[in-house]
Amino acid sequence: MAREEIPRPKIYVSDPIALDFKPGDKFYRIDLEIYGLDHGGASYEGRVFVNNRKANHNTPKTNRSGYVGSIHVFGHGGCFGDVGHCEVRADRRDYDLRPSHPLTKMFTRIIITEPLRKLIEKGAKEATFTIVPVVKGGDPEMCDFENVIKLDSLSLVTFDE
Amino acid sequence: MSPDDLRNLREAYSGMMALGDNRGYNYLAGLHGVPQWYCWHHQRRRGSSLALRIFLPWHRAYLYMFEQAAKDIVSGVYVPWWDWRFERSQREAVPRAFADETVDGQPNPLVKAHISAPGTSVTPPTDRDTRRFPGDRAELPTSADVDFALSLSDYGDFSDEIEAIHDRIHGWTGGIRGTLSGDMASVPFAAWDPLFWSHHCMIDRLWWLWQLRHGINNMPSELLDEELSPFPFTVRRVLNVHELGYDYAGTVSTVGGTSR
Repeated sequence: MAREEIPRPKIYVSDPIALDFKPGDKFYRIDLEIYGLDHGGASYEGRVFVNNRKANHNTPKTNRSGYVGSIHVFGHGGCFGDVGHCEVRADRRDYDLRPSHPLTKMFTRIIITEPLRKLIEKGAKEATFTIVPVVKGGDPEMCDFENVIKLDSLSLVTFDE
Repeated sequence: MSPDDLRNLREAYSGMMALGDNRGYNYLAGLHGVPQWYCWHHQRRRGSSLALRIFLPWHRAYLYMFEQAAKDIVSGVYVPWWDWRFERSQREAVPRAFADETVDGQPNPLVKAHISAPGTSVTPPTDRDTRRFPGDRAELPTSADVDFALSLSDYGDFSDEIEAIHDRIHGWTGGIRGTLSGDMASVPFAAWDPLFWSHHCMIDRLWWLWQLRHGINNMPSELLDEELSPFPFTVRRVLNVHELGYDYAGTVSTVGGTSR
């Protein structure tokens, strides 16, 4: 496969999250929690932008563009085992006490207190998160670069002062 | 790191690379990904959405076992940490000790290792040298990134933050060129890259610095008895690096004195 044939990864755009706050509300911390993130494929940086649905691979990582931080995923790089090796079975027995499957979907978070605080101070009523994956490593024959980012849900979590 | 220390490191890695049994480099590297798959990254407690954050203790045990095997070859050797924050690191990217193809006319064992791993019915065996395609130096983590992580007082917060930095270094060091991917960027072969150990030494060091600030035993109690397979340790057993026989002092100034 030639380099130019490697597809550009699809960009994830969340549904809007309501910001039911008002300017002056005080926050000790604000986290963006990411649930059910797949890490079986390529390694990548996921650039997270808030309220910039058009962010793409060329968007600079600046406050002005809505950049709030990056997640970094050290990917498994595809399946190097036999058939079924990387399949996370949902039907585990009650007394199967072995550790969870290494490819159980992961949880991660980024702490975005200051950019979200500023957004709320400006009176924003909702936040949409765009995650732009930039692949850092992985064998194109083994990994689905186009769909490198797969996740179940995002949560915006505030901790009040 | 002194020239003698570096010479010891090259000698130890060469010696381990020459061993084909369970004392050797290939065996130890194979515990991480292909073919043993023991490593812990971003895993969760079974039946729970909560993270089972034993990434740091598992890799401390792994690094310890690796360094012991290296000391079996050269008794005074130690694995150096790669601090990518230093101005020199920012200038050189991969440190020259790990990048110069030859030293004194001989191949440098810190540049690459030979991967010899079995295949399966669907994947061929791997029989090749490691490779790296490091990224833009500006993409390396900064002191501010590290300071932020070290400022977090909760173990879970710190573990997540430092694992993100760790993931970032893996991706940066491995990289992609054309259709080839660097080995540090994927779990299966990362541990074969000789720089892997110094990368993890830095991560372990940052954990120790965090422990010195926030408490050596600062660890959720439910994790303390988790086993760090395949190593003969639990989380509790690896909390104090002094009990493992090492430290991360930046400088040591020792003087004698006289009585008067």
